[in-house]
Amino acid sequence: MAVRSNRERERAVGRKRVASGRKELLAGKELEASKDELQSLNDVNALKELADALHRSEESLAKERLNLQTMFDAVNVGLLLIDENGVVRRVNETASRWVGKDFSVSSSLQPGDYLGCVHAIADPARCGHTPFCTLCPIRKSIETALRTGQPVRHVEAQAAFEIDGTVTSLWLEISVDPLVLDGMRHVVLAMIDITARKQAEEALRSGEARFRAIFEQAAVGIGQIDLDGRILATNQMMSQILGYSREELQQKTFEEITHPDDLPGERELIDGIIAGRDPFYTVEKRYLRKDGNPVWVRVTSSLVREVSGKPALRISIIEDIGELRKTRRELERTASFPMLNPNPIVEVDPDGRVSFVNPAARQLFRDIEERGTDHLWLANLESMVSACRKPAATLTSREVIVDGRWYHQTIHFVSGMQQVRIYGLDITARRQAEERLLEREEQLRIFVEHAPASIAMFDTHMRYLAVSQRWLADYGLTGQQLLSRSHYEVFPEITEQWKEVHHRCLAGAVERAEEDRFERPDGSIQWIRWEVRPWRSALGAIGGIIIFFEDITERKRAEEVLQRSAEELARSNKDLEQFAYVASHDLQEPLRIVSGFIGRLRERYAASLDDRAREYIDFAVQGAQRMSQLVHDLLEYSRAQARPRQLKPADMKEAFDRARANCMASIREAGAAVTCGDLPIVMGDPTQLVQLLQNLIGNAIKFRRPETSPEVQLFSRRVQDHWVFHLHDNGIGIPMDQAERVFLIFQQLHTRDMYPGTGIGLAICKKIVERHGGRIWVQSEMGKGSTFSFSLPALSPPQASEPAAVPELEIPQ
Amino acid sequence: MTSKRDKLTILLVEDNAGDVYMVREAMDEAGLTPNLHVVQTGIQAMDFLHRRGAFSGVPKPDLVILDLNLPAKPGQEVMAEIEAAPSLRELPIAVFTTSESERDICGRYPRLRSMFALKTPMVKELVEIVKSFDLFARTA
Repeated sequence: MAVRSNRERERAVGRKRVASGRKELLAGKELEASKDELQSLNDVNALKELADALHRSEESLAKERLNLQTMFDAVNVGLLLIDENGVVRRVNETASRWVGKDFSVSSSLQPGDYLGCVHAIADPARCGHTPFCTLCPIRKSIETALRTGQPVRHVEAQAAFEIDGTVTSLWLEISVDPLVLDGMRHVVLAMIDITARKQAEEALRSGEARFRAIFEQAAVGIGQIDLDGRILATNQMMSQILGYSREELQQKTFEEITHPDDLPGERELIDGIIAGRDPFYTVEKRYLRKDGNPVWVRVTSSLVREVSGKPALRISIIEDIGELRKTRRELERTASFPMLNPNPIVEVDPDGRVSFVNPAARQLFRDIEERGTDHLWLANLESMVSACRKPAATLTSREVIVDGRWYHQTIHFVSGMQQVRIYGLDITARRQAEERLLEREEQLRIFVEHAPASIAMFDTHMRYLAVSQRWLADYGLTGQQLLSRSHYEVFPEITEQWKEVHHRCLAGAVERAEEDRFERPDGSIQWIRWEVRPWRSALGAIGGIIIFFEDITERKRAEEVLQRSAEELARSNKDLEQFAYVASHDLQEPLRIVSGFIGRLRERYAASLDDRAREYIDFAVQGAQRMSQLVHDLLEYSRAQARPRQLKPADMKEAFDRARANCMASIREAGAAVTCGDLPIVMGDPTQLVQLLQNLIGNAIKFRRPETSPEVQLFSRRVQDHWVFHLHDNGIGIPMDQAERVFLIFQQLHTRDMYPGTGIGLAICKKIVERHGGRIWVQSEMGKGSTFSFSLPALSPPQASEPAAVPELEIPQ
Repeated sequence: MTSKRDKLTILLVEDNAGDVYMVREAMDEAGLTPNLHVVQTGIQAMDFLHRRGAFSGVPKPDLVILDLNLPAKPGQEVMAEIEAAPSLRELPIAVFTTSESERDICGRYPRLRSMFALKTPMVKELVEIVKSFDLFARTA
């Protein structure tokens, strides 16, 4: 209500003021001329004059009033004339449109209204929204001008208005000029909308900042390069890509940091943009980083020209495409994978149709496309697919066997494509190797466990894999569980020396010792034969080691005893040889001298000796002769033994014939029949075999029964690897209780008067047979005859250890 | 092959006095009267042949009758040394020993002119042997 009355009052004032004729016209002209200036709002005096003019001409120039009012309204400046009471006396249309109801409580500000709070909507919390709000910058400016009588200029204020139902924020520049009308203080309030300018400024300000930010923090490198290639400015990313600091880069030219191979190509492109052929170019090239490594980048470069159109510099944007290239290559690779993959890859639709088969799969499974999931390779695929359809897993795998070959399949359910891809890998060789490996390891294990020796098998960490019962027994561990336990844990006292052996063997060495001497903790000596060797899996890799141990202390002791007796034997053989020499020289010589001189005594002095003396001489001669014979036979006997043992194929028939020929005199004398059956070839010393048969035949004839023609037969019989010979005679026989004695040296069963001899013959026979590895014995019945039997080695297949045994003759069967 | 003087010079290397006696007797019986020198050891034999020491003035023998079983230096060594000395290699040597086992000794010194005879107690046999020595010395 109060507002309404104000407006009416204002109207009245307005009518009164739009008078003063000429001056108003002038002012009207001035108004027209200063329209532009008013817009820039540099001179509010003009406005003041305008207001004065308006006031003066109000009454007089009523006619032009409308024009002026029109002008006043047309100005794009909000103008208000306000009295000291805050009553708006005049308001132009611009202001009226802007302020809306917020310049007053009424919906549209009219003259006579009080000026309300302008900023109320912009900041309602701080504003009481009363007509006299002291916080309102507009109100504050008006009051200042009224109080001081001085103009207030260029106050920028943001105000919110509701215009046509929409709240709009405007930036205003305010000028307030005091003036006195009708003796009453007034102000002219001019408001110019500077929102666009503010926005432009803001835009400019934020635009520059944004550009700087973009330049600095861009995810790409940006560089300005002059036409000589000098680098003028670069951003952070550029340094990151190239490894040079900004300052270092500014010392460089782009040629210096470009990979030499990429330089010529880029030069052409630069020429292109300078010549104006291209607006810009993009190239993938390599820069050389500070550390010398090349870095792949994509460069987009364009030319900046001066206003004159003269080329000024280039701006280049550099992207690090190392990753991109890698990805791209990866992509290419991936794309070519299924086609070039030597392993089968198949893709199956949800309906079970095969939608892709790579060449490898086609070659392996010719009918897989026609048969689809009926094909063995794709059998039971549904169940596998349902497993990988679960959200947790899109991949599953299985092993299938087709045409005797094992395949590992990786099944991938591609959820987006509703397809199943099966990647196959032929693992037949691996499966077989694994089986072999297991088999081999198992075999080794079984062997070790049951070996009748001290053996243990270890893995590469020296853990027991298998151990023989003997090992357990030898170490007093019977019944203990050693498997999977470390050898060093079981035997903490094991020496570093042994650990080194194990270490070397795990690296492939085989170490052994035939005889290794150890001192036991109690000081006694232990002899050990050992071997440590790696065992290998079927694939050839070392799976661990096997340790073999044998306590050979006992054997070693026995060997030492044997060695000692062998030495003794050698010594006694040497003694025997010495004896043979002594017998053949030193014993024979005095005997010869004795018989020589006694012989001469008898020959030359026979006439002067009596019978008794001659008898004495005869006994002396006989004694010397007998002695000489004994020495001779003893020599034979020792030679039979000392002769080197050289066995070769010897024909027994030949030996028999020669022996019979040597005995021919006594055979004839006795009228003996000496015959033989089929005789084989044996391994023997032919000379000794002749002597053997000769002695036996000689004996058989010598010990014949009186009045009986001697019959001597030699037979042979094969018994396993040797021949047994039987020499049968029809002689006087030997009492069986004497059967052993006849083979002893110088043992005779009869007087020399009846059967002359020294008793050496059979002893030599025994020696010869024994040296051939055979045996000689006799079966006899008194008065009926004897059978001397002996064995000789049969012809053996030639052996490396007996090169002399290579048969040179065809062997009759 | 070379004609020899009627009276041969023979070196008998023999340590057994009985044997020496019997050889002398057999030579007498065979009607041989050589200039017989006797030494008892192998060392003496070599000194004689090289005319060393006590043997500086001895004649060069036409034949050596060599026993093998000698003290200090056995007959085998004597043969080896004679074979090794060029000045002695032509010397005929009659090995005269007890043991049959030494029969192959002449074959062991193929560069020497040598013969082998076994000692015997029998007078008649021994006479034949010394005759064969004489013949060997004259014809070897």
